[in-house]
Amino acid sequence: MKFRGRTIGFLVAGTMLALAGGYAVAADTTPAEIVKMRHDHMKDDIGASFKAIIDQLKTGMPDKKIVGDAAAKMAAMSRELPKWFPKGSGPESGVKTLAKAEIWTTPDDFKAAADKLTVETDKLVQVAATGDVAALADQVKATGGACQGCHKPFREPPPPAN
Amino acid sequence: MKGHTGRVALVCLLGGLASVGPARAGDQASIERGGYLFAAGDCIACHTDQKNHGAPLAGGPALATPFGTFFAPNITADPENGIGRWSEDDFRRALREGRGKGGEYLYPVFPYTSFTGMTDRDIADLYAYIMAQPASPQPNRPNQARFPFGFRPLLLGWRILFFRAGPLQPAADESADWNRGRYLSEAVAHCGECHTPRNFLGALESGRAMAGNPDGPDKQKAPNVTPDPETGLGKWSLEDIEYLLDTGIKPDGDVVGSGMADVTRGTGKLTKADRHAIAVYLKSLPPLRATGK
Repeated sequence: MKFRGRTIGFLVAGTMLALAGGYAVAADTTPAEIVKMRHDHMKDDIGASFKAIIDQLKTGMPDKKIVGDAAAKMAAMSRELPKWFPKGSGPESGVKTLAKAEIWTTPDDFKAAADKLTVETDKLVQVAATGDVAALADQVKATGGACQGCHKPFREPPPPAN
Repeated sequence: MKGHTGRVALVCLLGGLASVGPARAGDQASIERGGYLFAAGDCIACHTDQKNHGAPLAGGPALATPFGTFFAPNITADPENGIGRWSEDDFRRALREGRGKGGEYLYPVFPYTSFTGMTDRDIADLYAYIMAQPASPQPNRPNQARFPFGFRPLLLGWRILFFRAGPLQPAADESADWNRGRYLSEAVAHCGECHTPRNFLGALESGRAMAGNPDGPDKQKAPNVTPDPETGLGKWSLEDIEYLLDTGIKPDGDVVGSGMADVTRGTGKLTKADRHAIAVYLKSLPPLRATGK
């Protein structure tokens, strides 16, 4: 129950933060700033949270709180993700971005792929709360699949340097 | 006389069973093993037009190469447009020798240069699996090879220069894991076909094996997977590599999203031991700086 309160807290905080970000985008923001904003979100929020979960998973004894917090953050961020891709921030803007034009030419597919991340990260939050390590491993994999489900059609492969 | 008739009947019965009953049981195990290899080899990626929801194995999307645009053919059991009339020997000749049913040279865009390393048994199992999949009559799309590559006999010269037929021989002084990892990486999963750079004739540069290819298929960049600490997997643990092959998730929380996303869907179906073997093999490679451009 305590955990659920924290989750909701995270959801609310995440949503508010992202809303603030959303307003910034709506104002006079350059495409370069938008690209940087979404890159930072992807890397520092979604990517870093996912890394925290994977690192826990690899220990064999994942910390419930670390995993739960990170999962909640991912779930919150997944709801904001579509807003990080306003029209005019794609490759046609001239800014260097890995975002493909298909994001805007097939918006329904993009929305469906983003929604899938929400579905999987919501499940991740639930599974994290159970403390079931095997189920967590499966759900992390499913979440990774949701990431790929969007990156494959909508992101250019990043440069090969690891 | 009666006894003789009985024996004949028995032999006939056994013969009949051999071609229907027990053979089926044997086939089932073979089909299952073939399905495993099929996942490891990610045959789907080239032979199915997944993006347009094409029938499985009925022919792939356009694959752009410096030598033209190629379409992986229908390899379902359809007799007209697939490989339904191919015998197991025909199939083995394609994988082992890179030759079609009529003996013609296949373009090395079909990675027979890797599959040649597979064992006869694995090739037979793969054949059993593919033949057990639903047939599709989907017609093949003609390749658009650049001049003069449309003239297949030219491939003979290429083969003399660059092709050595397998199967891969195990290295006696290496561990079982290493040998299994090499077999999976080099032959079945044909990792080098994307991760090793190619020379101007499109042949893999063996001295730069797995060092990354800035000009991969469909202009995708395939990263360096040798243990170079700066540009390769040097800082990755065995577990990091195994986890990527299982899930498609990199140690930094990012995911592989291009062609490798398909590959990991296949390697995710392998046993943990096989993913470990691949990791052991990759970590044993000479560390090379990434192939720059």
